[in-house]
Amino acid sequence: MIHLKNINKSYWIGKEEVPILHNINLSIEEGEYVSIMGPSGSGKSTIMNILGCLDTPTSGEYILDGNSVLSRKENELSKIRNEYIGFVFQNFNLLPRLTALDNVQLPLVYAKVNKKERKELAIDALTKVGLKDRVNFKPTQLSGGQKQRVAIARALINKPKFILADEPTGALDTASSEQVMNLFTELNKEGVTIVLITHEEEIAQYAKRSIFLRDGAIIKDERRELHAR
Amino acid sequence: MLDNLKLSFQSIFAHKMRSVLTMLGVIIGIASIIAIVAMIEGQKESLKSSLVGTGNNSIAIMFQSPEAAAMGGSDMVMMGGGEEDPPDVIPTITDEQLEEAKVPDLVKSIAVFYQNYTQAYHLNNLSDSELYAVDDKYFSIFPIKMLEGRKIAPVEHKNGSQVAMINEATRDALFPEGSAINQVIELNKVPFRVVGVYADEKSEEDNMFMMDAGMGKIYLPKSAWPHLGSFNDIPQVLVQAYHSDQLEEAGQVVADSLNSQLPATSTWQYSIPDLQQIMEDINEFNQAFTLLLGGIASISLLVGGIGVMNIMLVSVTERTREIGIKKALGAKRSVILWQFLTESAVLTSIGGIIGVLVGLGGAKAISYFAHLPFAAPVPAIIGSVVFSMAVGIIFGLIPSMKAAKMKPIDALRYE
Ligand SMILES: Nc1ncnc2c1ncn2[C@@H]1O[C@H](COP(=O)(O)OP(=O)(O)OP(=O)(O)O)[C@@H](O)[C@H]1O
Ligand SMILES: [Mg+2]
Repeated sequence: MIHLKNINKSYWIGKEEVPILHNINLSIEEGEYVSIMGPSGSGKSTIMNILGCLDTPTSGEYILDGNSVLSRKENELSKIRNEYIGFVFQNFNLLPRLTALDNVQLPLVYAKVNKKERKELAIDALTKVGLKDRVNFKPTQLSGGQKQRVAIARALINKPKFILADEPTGALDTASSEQVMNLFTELNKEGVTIVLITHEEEIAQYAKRSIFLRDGAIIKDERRELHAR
Repeated sequence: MLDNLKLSFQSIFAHKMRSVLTMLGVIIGIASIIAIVAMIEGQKESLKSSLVGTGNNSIAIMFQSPEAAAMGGSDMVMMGGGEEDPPDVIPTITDEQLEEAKVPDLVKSIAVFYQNYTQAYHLNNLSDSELYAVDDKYFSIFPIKMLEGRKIAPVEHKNGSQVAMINEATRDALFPEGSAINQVIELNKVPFRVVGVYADEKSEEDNMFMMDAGMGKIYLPKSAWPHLGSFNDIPQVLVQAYHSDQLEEAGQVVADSLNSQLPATSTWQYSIPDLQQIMEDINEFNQAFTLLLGGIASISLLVGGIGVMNIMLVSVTERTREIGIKKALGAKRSVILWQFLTESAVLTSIGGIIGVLVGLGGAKAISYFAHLPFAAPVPAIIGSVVFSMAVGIIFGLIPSMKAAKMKPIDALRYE
């Protein structure tokens, strides 16, 4: 479903080209649960941004669901993100002025789903992440773990092809982390493809496949038949 | 769209102080427009009603030379110079003529009267007075309130009796002590008997505070006019219409009817004042004023608009992350564009509405303290709100486009 071919990414600091990703080749199939690991600065977030159609590589090819993505215009990319991808960020990225319910509804607003259906789906999603009783809370009235679960509900609501989670437990304590990770495991069992970015070995253990990055290159790609828990 | 409006109000109310300061330019601009327009409108209304008497739906018809008629017919507008002498014999208007001119459902009443100016005497007392030689119909158009005595009786109107009704000012001048009723006064050395005293239109307060309690005014029967030695006076005609919007039509009908009875050789004709012309003169004067006002308003709106643009740029920067999140979740450029355009337009529209209220309040206060007329200028109010919304959209365009064009990755990374 996801195919990255010979992806290179450089930044220009002034006139100097700083290469970040080197010749990345990566395929992820439907239903997989992949973790991308590596030390800080190794390029994990950069890959995630490319996968999420938020950023474009300097060279290479990205085929998503059989279609080349890189030649698309900005508005088309918005549509792809809206339909194919659910995002979960380390810092939650909820809109502070909206309630949990409204935050979760946002992707449906952009997909032009009508109000009534939107609300029903959002309540379902919040119920699924165990926040049925926090529907009208604003982000400031929620704990970190709860915020991240709202973000997961938001990522799920459009029934995306895959969920991209960049350090989803980075700002959470152990208990909340466990809760969030169990949620991902459960979703994966239901068939949702998950790409998890982390630098914590323990968190990566939840995934069925681990990709190791170092200095912008893939150094290891291993599958676990029996994953923890 | 509704969600956008809701969000706009939320973010505007989230920064109340900032929003009000931003709106200040728009508020001042709109308030000054509304205040000045309200004053001009009020002036216009009162001028119009003083010219044509909208209060009682009446219009004055004038018998005048062709040149005078061509100049718009208003004595106010035309100040002497080149005025032709009246014809040697001015045809009198008969009751039959009036009956004929009275078109049903249009003309309610026609009053013909003569007007002159004289000095009235009683013993050694003197009063400068305006004389009005009228008939009963005159009082159906301009009712008066009797203070003493009675009105001139119909039979006195018919017979040309030498009787008079005087106003308070005349009474006070001629009869400082004692009653005026049944006393004889001299007008042009001709004796008239006072049958009644009527109230001045002025209010009690005005009489109390002003030494000069107004002009003397005396009513006589029209039929008694010849006794004063005036034979060839120009008749004044007042036409009362049923509806104020038919004023000109009614006046024209009566003027035409009277003209058709004039001798074919008469160059002088009856005509109504050209209200259009008078209004145009007033408008011309107001236009200069409006131009000045427009200048002030556009400068303050320009400054206000730049203020809005500035604050919107700040707002866009502050909400870079929000924009990034929305784009990541699938918001297209237009969604972001409209969000900020709406916010900017709502901001200035609120400013416009506040400006209208402030302007109306200001105009009301000025008109109250300066005793000037006031009228709420509805088109200007609507125009102002629409215009302030347009200011918001125009000056919000650049910040909104900046927001819409942000790359999602840059917006998300923004700290
Ligand atoms: N906008 C940018 N301009 C220049 N260099 C950048 C930019 N964004 C990222 N980099 C560089 O790219 C490299 C990889 O960054 P990236 O964010 O992908 O690392 P990461 O693996 O996610 O690290 P962490 O675990 O700390 O989040 C870093 O060395 C960083 O300095
Ligand atoms: Mg990172």
